[in-house]
Amino acid sequence: MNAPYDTPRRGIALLLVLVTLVLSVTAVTGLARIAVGARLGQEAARDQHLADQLLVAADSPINDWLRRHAGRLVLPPDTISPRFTVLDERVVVEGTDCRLVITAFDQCGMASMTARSAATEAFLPPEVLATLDRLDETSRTHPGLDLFASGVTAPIYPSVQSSRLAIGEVAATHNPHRPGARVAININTAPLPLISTVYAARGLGGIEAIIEARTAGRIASPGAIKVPRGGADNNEDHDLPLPVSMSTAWAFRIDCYAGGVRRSWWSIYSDTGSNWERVQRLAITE
Amino acid sequence: MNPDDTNTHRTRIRGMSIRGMTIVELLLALALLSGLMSASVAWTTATARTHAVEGGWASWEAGAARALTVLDDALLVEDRRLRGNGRERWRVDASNDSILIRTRELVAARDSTPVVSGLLQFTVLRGVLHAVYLDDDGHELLTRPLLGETQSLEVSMTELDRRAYEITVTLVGTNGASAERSWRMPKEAVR
Repeated sequence: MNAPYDTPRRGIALLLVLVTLVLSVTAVTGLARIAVGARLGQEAARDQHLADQLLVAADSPINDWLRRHAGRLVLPPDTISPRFTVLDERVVVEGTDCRLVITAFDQCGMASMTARSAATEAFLPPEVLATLDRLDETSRTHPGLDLFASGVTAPIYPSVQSSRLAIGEVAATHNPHRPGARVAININTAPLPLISTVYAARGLGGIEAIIEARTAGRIASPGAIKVPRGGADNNEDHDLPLPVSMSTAWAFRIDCYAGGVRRSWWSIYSDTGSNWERVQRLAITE
Repeated sequence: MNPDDTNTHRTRIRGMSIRGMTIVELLLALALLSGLMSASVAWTTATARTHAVEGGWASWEAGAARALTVLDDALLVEDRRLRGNGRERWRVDASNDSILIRTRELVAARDSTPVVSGLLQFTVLRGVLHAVYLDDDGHELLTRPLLGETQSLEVSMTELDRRAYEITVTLVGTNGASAERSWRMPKEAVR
């Protein structure tokens, strides 16, 4: 007849089990938390390192694209953004899914921020003009889209996902491609209203030929269509863009995905005469 | 004795045994409970202390990793127009306890006007790792504390081949923890 006496013993045993359980669970949870935290930290660091390696690797396809394709690109006449997809590739690196997306933006297919002229200023968003006025000298000597980090509501860097026009696809920071050079406008990639304005300001005709060539996917040559209407280029306005068929500066948005990490960069490449050189690289933080 | 009385006594005893413990069992249970409580308090205190220490180290290491990422980004960001020609085309100037990087960063000057800084120096001042943004002439524009409890910043440079150096930056915490990262830099980019 031990049953009545077993009940308190069971109670003590249950108490012991409960306390042990609480202690064990606390300890295991704490250890698991530390282990998971450390693991996640390591994975994030590794993914970030991979994303940075992808950025370094992006240099080759960009240079190849600039050498092979940049000189013979044509966009339809109704295009509003001078953008081209250079690369969109997925690879598995050390067991991690990676993706590299490179999009090119023709600096000569936009209105210049640094060499503003009355004719092309209308194509710069008011917010951009206000910021340029505020920064004044800095924007001319140290041009870059990072100058618009505050004070603008429009997107700064063009995005593949967003359909909203960003500052970086309507306003060029590196046109002219080097200090002292002429501002250029690529008649094969720039929006037609911009070309029309420049042609009108320079007293040139031949817009129809440009439209026809671009509609047919052919390269239009400014030499053949640069017919002076109101007199030759008198260099009165040095900042008025010079029509060209090949661009001397390109911007690239580089999106590097590695695991759960995405790092985006904005790189500018400039023609040195014999080669292409990266002249600026900024981190996209928006 | 009346048999009925005996039955009543048994029932009472049974009732007592069911409802509670004997005095000896109660004392034993209390002693056990006290022991367990003391042990659990000691365990919890020790665990909390370990967590705090481990968490502190983990926090410092995470902070050090972030600081090295700032350095990493400074090396990836560049602007050729902020660099001179010829011998002035260097990007990194490394000494034993600080590293100077030619980069591009928009900082707010004293009157809140954004200014482009072309030079960024990482150095330890009074136990805190600082990022010091300088203008083209080397004047300080902004100093940003990056990481506390830092004993030292060590920079070492190893020649990898005829074209490149490997630059290693090591951050050492006051608790003895350390974090390091290495970069391969072309020789012409190192002063």
